[in-house]
Amino acid sequence: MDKKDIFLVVLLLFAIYLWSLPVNNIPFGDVDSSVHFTSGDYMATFDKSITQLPSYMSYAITADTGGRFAYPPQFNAGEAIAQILGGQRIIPVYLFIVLLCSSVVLSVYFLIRKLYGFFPALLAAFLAIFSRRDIMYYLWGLWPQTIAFAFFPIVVYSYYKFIDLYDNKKERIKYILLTILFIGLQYTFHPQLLFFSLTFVFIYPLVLFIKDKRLPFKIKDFSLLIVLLVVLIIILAPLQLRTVLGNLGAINTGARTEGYSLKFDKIGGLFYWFKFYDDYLSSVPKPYFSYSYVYGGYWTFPLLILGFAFLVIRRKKQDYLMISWAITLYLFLHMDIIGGNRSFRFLQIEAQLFSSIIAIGLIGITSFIKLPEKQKNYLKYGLVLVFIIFGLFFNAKPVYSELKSSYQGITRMSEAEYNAALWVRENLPEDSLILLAGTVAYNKKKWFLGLSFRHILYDNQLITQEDADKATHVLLDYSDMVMIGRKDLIEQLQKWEKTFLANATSLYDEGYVKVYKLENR
Amino acid sequence: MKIGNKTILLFVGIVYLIFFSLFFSLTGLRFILGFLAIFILPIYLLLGLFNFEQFERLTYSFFLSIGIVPTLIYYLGIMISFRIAIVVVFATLVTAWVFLRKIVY
Repeated sequence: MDKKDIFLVVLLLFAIYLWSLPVNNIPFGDVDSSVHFTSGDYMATFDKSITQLPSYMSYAITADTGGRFAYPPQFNAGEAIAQILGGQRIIPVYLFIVLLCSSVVLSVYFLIRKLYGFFPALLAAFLAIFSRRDIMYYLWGLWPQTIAFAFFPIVVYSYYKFIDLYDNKKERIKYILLTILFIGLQYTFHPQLLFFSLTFVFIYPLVLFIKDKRLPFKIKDFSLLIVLLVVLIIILAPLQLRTVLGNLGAINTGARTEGYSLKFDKIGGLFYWFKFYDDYLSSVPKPYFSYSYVYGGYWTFPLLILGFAFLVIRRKKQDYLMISWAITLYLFLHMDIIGGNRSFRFLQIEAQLFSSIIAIGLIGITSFIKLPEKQKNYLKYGLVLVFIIFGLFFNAKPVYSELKSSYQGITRMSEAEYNAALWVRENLPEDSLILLAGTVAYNKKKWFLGLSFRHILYDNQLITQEDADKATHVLLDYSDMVMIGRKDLIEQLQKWEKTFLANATSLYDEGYVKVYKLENR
Repeated sequence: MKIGNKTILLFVGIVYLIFFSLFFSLTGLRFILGFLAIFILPIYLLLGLFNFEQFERLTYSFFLSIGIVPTLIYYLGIMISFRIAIVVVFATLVTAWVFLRKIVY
């Protein structure tokens, strides 16, 4: 370890500071975030690991999971450990999430430092801090996926060492075991990354084989890698194996799989780095696909081209590694052609690759210019300084604003809503079916469920209609409407309250949130 | 002046403790102390037995620990109290390091 690596600590702390801007005493997140949070929260609260999800999380239970976690349980166990260590319900869990999600800065720095030296590593890691796609997924609450992606540069490095140390048996075995371990652990965060890493494990030697006309490893070692990896995956998360195989369509678990077949209409997409299709917009917003948005404008684009040119022209062993990474990503970005429907998700890892290549491109400029060593160093320092200033202005500034302002207003639970969820958890019977009425922000409806540890009935209506006749209680939430100043909605809900809850018993009434017990239920 | 790895590690550790207590008060301090002790430390010690360069050892400790430690605690936590599982796993990993160190050196 070099003294220069102290700069990494500065980058990591800056990343943690930036990514933790939305963290406070009330949880945040969209889509699966409440499921991820409550799975760990439940383990910490009841002081036990769970293999079956609690019944109130039925919305998260699908036919193919058989009532178990859809993802391996390690991440949720980690959240529970963080909660116990920090001694508080919310903040330690989010610090754990921030630390793990922003670890992409560490892994990118590590890989590029080992392959290309200090300055490219510093700049690549610096850009990775502001990776918009990582930040998007982090804010939405797709934490396991973000963490699994952060593992990839570590997998790449370990595998590179295994192949590079062909003649050193002891070291070779060490790195093959590490490669297996990291791919296995990556799988515990998100199964889809297993397939990405596995493909890379085949692509890199294939590229080397084409170059050298000989296999870069011993068949025995490679077979060991595959066999041990399969065994490790079974050991690490045996209860999720069925779900993963079901999602792949390998076995029938009732999971919805579209099946794999060649889509001729999408073949033209092969001529693009990534072909955008309108149906992606049902999952992610349009800026997700914009180079300018993701990389802070187009100022990095010439450097990206230069970086690619540098790799292709120079073609040293580490350059082949980066090229193999690019090929692997290209293949995954075109999975639509064989029927995959999640190829856009792999764009998340593009930032790691592009940040690295951009940094390599910038530092590569000095190798194209003939100058005495001293002047060359001055040029390098100058370029690094200009790069950091541009990065702070074009990349850091919008990211800071986005993180600072995220989950303000009705998209995050108010203090009153959070307290009501706690009250429900402590005071209502476990078999209660609580109908939610009045909450405007959809993502919060799941949070009510996750935080109250009770079965909350909700749908996309203002007053829940689905299974409403089964409800034993009503949780009436005026706080969103008050916050957005919608008097019309308040009056509508008050009218409903007077009509339908006239005979119900009021149990709780604090800060625009009420809980009623329905008569004869 | 040559600064040793232990000094750098100590410095980095202290910077992290200050950072987390400054921005997240006592909760932050408790969390990062616990994280460094329960997650990172046992794996870092064990990796010391395998001849890694310092930066490699630190980075590997982080990524191995966030997967291995929860795995062990989770599966033990099915049988015993989750909190006790944290202590048992920590103690087991450190004990394993003590024994293995005697064998290796």
